[in-house]
Amino acid sequence: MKKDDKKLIHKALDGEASQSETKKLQEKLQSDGRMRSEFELLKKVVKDTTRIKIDVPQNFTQKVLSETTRRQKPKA
Amino acid sequence: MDDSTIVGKCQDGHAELYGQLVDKYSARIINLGYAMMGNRHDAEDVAQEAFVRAYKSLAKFQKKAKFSSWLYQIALNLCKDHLKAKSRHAKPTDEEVLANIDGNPKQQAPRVIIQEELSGKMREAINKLPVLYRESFVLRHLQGLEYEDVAVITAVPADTVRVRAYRAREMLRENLAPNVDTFWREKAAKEKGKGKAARKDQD
Repeated sequence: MKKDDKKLIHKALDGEASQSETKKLQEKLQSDGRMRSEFELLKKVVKDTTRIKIDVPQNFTQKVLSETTRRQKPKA
Repeated sequence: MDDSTIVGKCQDGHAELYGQLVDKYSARIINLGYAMMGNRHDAEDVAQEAFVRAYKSLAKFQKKAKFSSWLYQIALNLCKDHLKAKSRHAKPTDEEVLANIDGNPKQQAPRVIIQEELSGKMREAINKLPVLYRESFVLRHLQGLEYEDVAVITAVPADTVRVRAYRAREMLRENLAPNVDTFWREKAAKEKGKGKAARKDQD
């Protein structure tokens, strides 16, 4: 794949492609199956990574506030 | 109340309001740590430390700056220190990602298991990224920040962040493509099977 095509794909994935670049990409994706696969793969990789999340533990805020108070107390 | 108002009030002695900032940013900071270090326990410890240090330095905080960027900076530096300290020990595994999934994977539908395995591979692939690429990718894509904000947090020009995120995506794609291909192949085969079954039912 051409370097410029790859750059165009990444720009679109980043949401930084202009209107004309988006149109150009759509035209290329329609006519180039390999480029389409590459675009879909990259899009999926980015989308899937954003699913990796954990929940905030219970009482987290309380723990932080207790710790800030504890560290503020003068040492005996 | 916006962040800068809360910070101002905290600086004026209303320390009890700091909890509002912790509530607002705890999920983001814990997940930043999790993405950077791949370990739930470390992520929670680092997040707690980041909030405590931010609180202790609140008097020095310049109101012109964004509180969130400043907090991200503190948390990211703690993550990097932690990674450096741990670099001689065993690398984190994806077990925690799998342990975080509700229920017993063995009892779930095959499609779900494939998704979960893919998630574990994602975790591993992110951990393999060089730290500088990882931080740019995580802040941009997992935290959804603008490049300009990532640039402030990481103290490099926005174009450098763009290049690092680009390389991170390329590395992830190279590492994960076989898994994604497998996932798609199996998905396509399953859909094909469903189609055949539906046609058989119609006959």
